[in-house]
Amino acid sequence: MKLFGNIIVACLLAVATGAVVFFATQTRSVAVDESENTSKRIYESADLDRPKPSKDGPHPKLVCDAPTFEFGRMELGTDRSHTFTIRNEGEGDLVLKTGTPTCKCTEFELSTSVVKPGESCEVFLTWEPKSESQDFSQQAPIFTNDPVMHPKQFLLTIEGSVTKIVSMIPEQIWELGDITKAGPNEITGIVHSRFLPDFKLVDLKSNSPLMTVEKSAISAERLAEIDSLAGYELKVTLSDETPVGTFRGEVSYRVEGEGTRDSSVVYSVDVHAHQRGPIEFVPTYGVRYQEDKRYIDIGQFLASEGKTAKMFCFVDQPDDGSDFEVTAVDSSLGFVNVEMKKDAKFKGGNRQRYELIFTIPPGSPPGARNLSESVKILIKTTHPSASEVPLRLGFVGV
Amino acid sequence: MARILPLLLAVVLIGLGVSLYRARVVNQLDADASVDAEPEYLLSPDAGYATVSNSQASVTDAAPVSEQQFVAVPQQVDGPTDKSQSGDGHDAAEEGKPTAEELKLLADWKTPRAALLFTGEQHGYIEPCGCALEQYGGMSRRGDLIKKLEERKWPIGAFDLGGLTKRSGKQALKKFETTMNGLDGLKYKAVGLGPEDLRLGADILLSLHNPDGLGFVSANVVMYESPELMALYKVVEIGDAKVAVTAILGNSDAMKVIPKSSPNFAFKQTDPEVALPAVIAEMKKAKPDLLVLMSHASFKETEALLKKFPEFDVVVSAGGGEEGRGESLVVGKTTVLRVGQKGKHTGVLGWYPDAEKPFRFELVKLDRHRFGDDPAMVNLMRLYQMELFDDELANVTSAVPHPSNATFVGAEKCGECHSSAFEIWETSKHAHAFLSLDPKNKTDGYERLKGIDRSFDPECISCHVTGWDPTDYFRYESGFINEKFATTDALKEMSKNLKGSQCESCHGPGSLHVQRIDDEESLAKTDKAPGRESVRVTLKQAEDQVCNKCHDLDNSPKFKFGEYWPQVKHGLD
Repeated sequence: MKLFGNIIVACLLAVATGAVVFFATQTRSVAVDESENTSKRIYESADLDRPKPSKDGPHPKLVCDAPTFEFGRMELGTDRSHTFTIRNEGEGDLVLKTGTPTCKCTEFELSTSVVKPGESCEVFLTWEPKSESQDFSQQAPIFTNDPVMHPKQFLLTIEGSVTKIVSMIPEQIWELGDITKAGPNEITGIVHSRFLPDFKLVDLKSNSPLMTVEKSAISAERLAEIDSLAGYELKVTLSDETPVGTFRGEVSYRVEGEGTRDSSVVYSVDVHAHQRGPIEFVPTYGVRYQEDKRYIDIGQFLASEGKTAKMFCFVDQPDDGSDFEVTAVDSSLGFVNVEMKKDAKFKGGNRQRYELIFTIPPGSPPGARNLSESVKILIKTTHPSASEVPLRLGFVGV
Repeated sequence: MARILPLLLAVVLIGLGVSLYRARVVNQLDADASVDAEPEYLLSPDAGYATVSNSQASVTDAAPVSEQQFVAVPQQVDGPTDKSQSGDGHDAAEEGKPTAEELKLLADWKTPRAALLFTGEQHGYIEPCGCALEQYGGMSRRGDLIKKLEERKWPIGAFDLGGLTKRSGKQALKKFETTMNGLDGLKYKAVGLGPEDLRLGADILLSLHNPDGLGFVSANVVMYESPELMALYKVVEIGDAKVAVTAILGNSDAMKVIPKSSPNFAFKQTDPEVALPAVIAEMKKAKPDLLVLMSHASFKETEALLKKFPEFDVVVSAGGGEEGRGESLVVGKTTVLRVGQKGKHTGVLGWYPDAEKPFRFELVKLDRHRFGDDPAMVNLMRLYQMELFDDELANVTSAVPHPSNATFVGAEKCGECHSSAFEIWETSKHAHAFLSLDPKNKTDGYERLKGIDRSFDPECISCHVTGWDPTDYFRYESGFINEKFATTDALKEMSKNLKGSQCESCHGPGSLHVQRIDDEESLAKTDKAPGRESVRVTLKQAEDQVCNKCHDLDNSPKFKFGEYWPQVKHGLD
């Protein structure tokens, strides 16, 4: 009985103890949660890790004559380093602590973390760029107890530009834009090096029978213009047989010569072009056009209010010199009106501009037309290469 | 003693029980806190402006699919947070903690007569990403910055220099549309053109150019020989200040996309020095308080333009690198800004016409400590992912044969022989990489997904599955295809077998290796080298050429081969 009584007492004590522990820890947890909700409070104590100015002095004075260093032009794949010097021209010890640089590609270390008055500290910084950059700037922050700097950080900055050993102009993609049967459909790009005074361009290839590529020497003036040491001009020509629509091809080559790190590397550039038909359709705001499907989507509207949407049509002058005329514009859906009218304001040489206007009047029946159930539009013209131009129209009237 | 023992035992046991209960309660509280008590869904009223602009991109169109795929997932809209974003190759963001002083936003600024916000060269980074040790930036935090400034009743006008995208192709286009919708929602006034934008095509740009709202401005780029199709400049009211803004595409940047030798009807770029005088004269007719130029050119070229055209009050130039420049530069009467790339910062320029120095500038870093998420921008990101799903970009993206002519066989097959390597892989994060794209799975670091499923985003899945190119985001013919798009039993099997970053992600497709090994076994060859060599990756190759395709500066900023390799170290069985 006595044992039973002890157990009862123990249980009561335990519950009380557990409850105290529970509420104590719960209270602490709530306090933490609250502080997490206020980022200011989280970090009020964060700068305890950083050097703080003495209240009474004597104070240090951080001096850095050249806090920015220009690495100049660098080759991708190489690294550079620089040593900054920080002096203490104050009367107290200068305490330094490194912060986090703006990129992991930048590493830096201090020769000492405490600089006596009149002494200096070297900051050794290494920079290893990971990608090409026309103008890079990275910063290495240092926290100090200099009252002028505190609480803001003192920043060491490196700048420069990073390019590959061999570069191309244009970069990445050589865009011919719109090409025509009449041509000439060619683009001349440049392969050049700002680091190699001489190199050979070998295994120059096109991956398409519709595309040829020729190299030629580049003039000294052009090299000077692009601020480069050596290079070649590559003329890429697309065949007249390139079909209407989008063309995607690739030109590849290797580079040999003294200073090339790996002559087996195959460089390539994408060549893009768009073979225009005699009539080109260009959407305006809010209209989507899928050229490959000749599908026009004028979007959603209230059927009670109707909708008007517009596209532009650019028409090439027929090769036979005849006048271009639109003879009919038919719509497979009665209430969808389509009109194609000449825009007299356009001054475009041997091209004419038309406006293609779709009108769905207010109060038309609601309904959706998508790609598979589109409204068929047929434009009939006098153009010898485009006597009938079919289009498809989609919309959602609600 | 015999009496005290049961007493102590009871105290310990019950105390333990209470503590365990408390732990459960707290965990439950944490779990509840991780998903908003009142989740905001796609069609929340706040989503309004994420859906405007292009009518085809309306939420209504996408709603049926969204209900099946996305709507059930509650959206997390974070306030400023200290949660590290860890796991899944997207490294925890370790950084120097900011001080209370640094957490203040433009703290000692008085209300300017006009606050001009500038961004540029976003290069497709609609969400936080970048090579800095902490991932910062993103349109959502930018929205929060704007909201904070609006709460101060500042008159605000935002402008973008252009360079919204980086790549070309369907996903880049979708992202570009999303970005324009977002900028519209953030009440941007004008957008310039960068060379990357021109790569999308003039027709695309015109379909997104709203002459009566947010559109492009350019003093020297003409499309289809029709200068009236786009604005040469724009005059906007910011509070009671009248600001005239124009933009140019520099010769150096134009050369990247419009070579002089190319016949091009869609675009024509004129030397800015030739185009600007007439445009400036027109701008001045509007009697603006401020004349602003956005120069998408190298900084060297911008500097040269400054000398020729000193009448600009403000010039924003490209060519400032990812981090931009924290300080403005004053040349004559012109304040020159470089606001960085990848959307990591927003340049805030305050105009105080009566002050000794009329401009005050800060390049505001969009960090997670000061900025939370703008719900409308989060919804926009969700809409973007939905559209990737609707358009089946992870399905229709053209598949190509692997250059080795081999096909992917899946890790299970590899494990038949390489059992110990398979066991190591099976317990690694690589094996669960695909699961980490869907917040429903709540894998490590899922908070950064903002409640949005990324399993259909080619740019995401290419490193989280097997059989995709991780740098150009295309699928190899035998590579992973999402089960939602798998129409045959073979494709469904492919989906099941190639989830996660498997053996073949690093070693290449294994079919020829398997075939050769089988042949060699049957022929009892002594030299098995050819079969092995086809998939052999040396440590040096792994370090130099393989791992960094996914563990790049953007997505794995803390990656160091020497530290990461031991976590997945394996050799031949």
